[in-house]
Amino acid sequence: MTSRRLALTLAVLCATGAACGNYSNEDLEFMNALPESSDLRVNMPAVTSAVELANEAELAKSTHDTTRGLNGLLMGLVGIVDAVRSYPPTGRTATSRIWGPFPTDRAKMKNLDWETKMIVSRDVTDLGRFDYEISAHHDGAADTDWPVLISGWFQVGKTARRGMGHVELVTATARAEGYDTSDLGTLDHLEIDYDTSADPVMVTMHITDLPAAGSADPAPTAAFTYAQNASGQGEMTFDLIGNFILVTTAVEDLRITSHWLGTGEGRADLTVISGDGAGAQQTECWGRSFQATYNNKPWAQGEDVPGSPPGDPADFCPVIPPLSGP
Amino acid sequence: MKRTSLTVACVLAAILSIAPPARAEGLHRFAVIVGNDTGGSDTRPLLYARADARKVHDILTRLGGVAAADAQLLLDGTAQDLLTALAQTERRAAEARARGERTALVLYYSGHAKDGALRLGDTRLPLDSLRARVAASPVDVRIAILDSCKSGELTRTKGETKGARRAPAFQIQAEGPRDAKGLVILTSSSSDEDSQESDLVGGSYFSHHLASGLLGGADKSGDGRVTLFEAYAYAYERTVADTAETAAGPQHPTFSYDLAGNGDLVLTDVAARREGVYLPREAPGGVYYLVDRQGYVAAEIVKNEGDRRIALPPGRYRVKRRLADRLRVGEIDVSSGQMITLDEGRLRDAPFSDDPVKGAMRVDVSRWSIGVGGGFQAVFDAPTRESLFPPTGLFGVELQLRDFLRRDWVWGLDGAIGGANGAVPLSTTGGAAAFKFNELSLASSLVVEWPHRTLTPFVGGRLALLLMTRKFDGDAFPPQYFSTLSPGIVGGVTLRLSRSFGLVVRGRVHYLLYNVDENRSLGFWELQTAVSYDL
Repeated sequence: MTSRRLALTLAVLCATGAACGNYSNEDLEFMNALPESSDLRVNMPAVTSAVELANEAELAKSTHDTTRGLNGLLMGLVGIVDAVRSYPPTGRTATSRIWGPFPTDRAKMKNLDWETKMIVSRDVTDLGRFDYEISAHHDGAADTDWPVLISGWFQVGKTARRGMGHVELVTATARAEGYDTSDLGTLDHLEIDYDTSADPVMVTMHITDLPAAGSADPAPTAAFTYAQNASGQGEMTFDLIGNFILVTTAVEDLRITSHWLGTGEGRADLTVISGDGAGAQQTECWGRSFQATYNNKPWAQGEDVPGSPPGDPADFCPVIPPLSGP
Repeated sequence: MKRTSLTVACVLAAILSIAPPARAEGLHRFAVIVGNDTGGSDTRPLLYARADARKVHDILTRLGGVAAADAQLLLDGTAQDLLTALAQTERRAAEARARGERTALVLYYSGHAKDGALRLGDTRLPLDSLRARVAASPVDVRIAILDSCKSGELTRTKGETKGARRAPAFQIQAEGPRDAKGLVILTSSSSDEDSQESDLVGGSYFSHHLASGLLGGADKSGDGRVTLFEAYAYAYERTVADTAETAAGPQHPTFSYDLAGNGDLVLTDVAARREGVYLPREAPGGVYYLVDRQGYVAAEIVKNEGDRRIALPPGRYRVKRRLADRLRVGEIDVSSGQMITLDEGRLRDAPFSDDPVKGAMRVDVSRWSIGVGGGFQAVFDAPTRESLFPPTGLFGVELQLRDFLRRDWVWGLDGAIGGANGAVPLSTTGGAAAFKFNELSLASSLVVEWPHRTLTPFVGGRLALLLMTRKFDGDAFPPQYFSTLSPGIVGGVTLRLSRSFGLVVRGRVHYLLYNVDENRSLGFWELQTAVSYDL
């Protein structure tokens, strides 16, 4: 009787005690190779009052609107990665970690017959290089049919900061198989390149929208290059390509380059590179309350600040040094 | 030998039946009671010598007319300690004698004896010198009771034959020329016999039956007083009967006296106490076992035609009487200052499988202890220690069961929790992920120990279920956990602080299979100290 009791006790202990768990240092390396939305987020001093909002300079507002849109896109894209990396991997190989497959978000009542997974792989010859992809699988499709939604890579930097990487969202293949991408709006293709290995951090985005339904115009595209240092000083150049000026059907290439200080003061230069109004330029500066201190808008001289003609911008615009580390 | 001693017992019993009422009044009694489980490196530790001494001490001070201040209980003492205690007691006795009181000294010893000497730990006390010392004690009556192997040598040194001389009736009186004076020696076995212990009764056979007799079982006269001869006769008869079938063979207590005067010497007065269990005349005859709450047979009483008073201390007792085809069992509560009558109506039939004495045996031989303590744990491999499983302080509790599976084997269950801070260096960022590490350990161990007087070394095996978790600062990463079974070895020593408390210092070395990133065989060590308490 005594021996039986002892054996039973040991059996229970053994049954409950098989080595298992997710306690891993390597997992952290794989998870750390994935971009966080906070790494790539565009940080521009924000409008803090209704008065400022009402008097906000035109191009400052355009820059704010653009940063909000970009950050929204980042949340949509990299937020998926963030969500996945908040869980430990469900599978491991010597050179990879696997999350999933997981069912899609049931709460949204979309893609109920799809599941997703993420694989992060480490380059065996360059341990500082990681590649990853998030793919989706439709129930009933071939086991190997996992169209990729998001892919990317990360290269460990040589400094104490993170490194450089690339993230790409491609909806075409999955959408073709019936994957509902309505959450992404008209977004068709998004690429993000970033380099956070040194100050200032650099982020470049290329966005391609789906063509507007019933329109013969090509799909609008946009490219953003953003840089910021630790003091809050930043700059962003965004190119918008599309038929924005409806004088003719010509496709315009608009480029806006914004610079700002950590205190909020800034300057933006808009140039119509091609298309209707090619060569036109607008320069606008603003102070700490984002109210225009200078505006030279040749095609709407009534909006010039402080008057028409507005004068030398050097007299009204903040001095913004070249972007460099603090 | 056996026939001789039995004859002696019969003669004693016959003498007792005609002896005048025994008296204890007017005799100032002193006692030195010694118990020592250890007898040096060439002897195996005893289990119950100290328990026997405590039992006798309790009986003499409760029923034997020995004031607590006049009784010295010496546990695990040395030979010099014994002699010192004896000298102190003799001084007190001499003072009493100087005041005109008559005095008696009871020396009881339970422990090892070998090669003509008592063994008290690593010290020795030759039987010859002990006998001479007791014989020279400045008291009127000297009673030496030795419960040890080959203790009959003590009676033989006087030149007597094995066994006992016929004892005349004698009476101790407060005054007068007929007061008893001299020396009486009781031993648990003859000069060539071992004295045996019994897990069943939680003591040596001899001391157990002597105690049962002193509690009232030996009161053959029915006068409520147990005399020296009654006690010896009872202990002799029961000891021989119980050891007749043991592997070590029968054990024959001996008795020697050198007394002037006549009458018998009352050792305990169970009637005056008026507390315990009363077996009325009409209660069925047979052997009654009274088992205390700890599972020990507190008294084993043979009842014949007459009634019996059993002067047990207050408490709850299980009662058993064995019939040919079944048991009669029951429970009885003895309240302070009350003599509870045990009539047959209190007992019920029970199968032999419900034998409380049999059950008691299992409990008797097992002893529980609990402990609390703290320690430190660290993985051997430095990189692992620095980034994966950081060195951790642990606080734990343990429960141990001794002598359950086998004598000197200790089965233990322990649990511990601990925590530490750590950091994982991240090559992908060059920084580090700080984390809070927690560990829960549940383990079972089986160790063998070698009990000594104050230090008990032990060594054994241990199987631990480890659950380790870590949570990263700022929730930078999801929490991680790992659980595994970890076999190991354990060794250490217990320092006995008191009767119930001990200080345990132990070290452990464990194997740890880590299989998340890869299969790795790791090891870790632990140092721990704990305070244990015997339940």
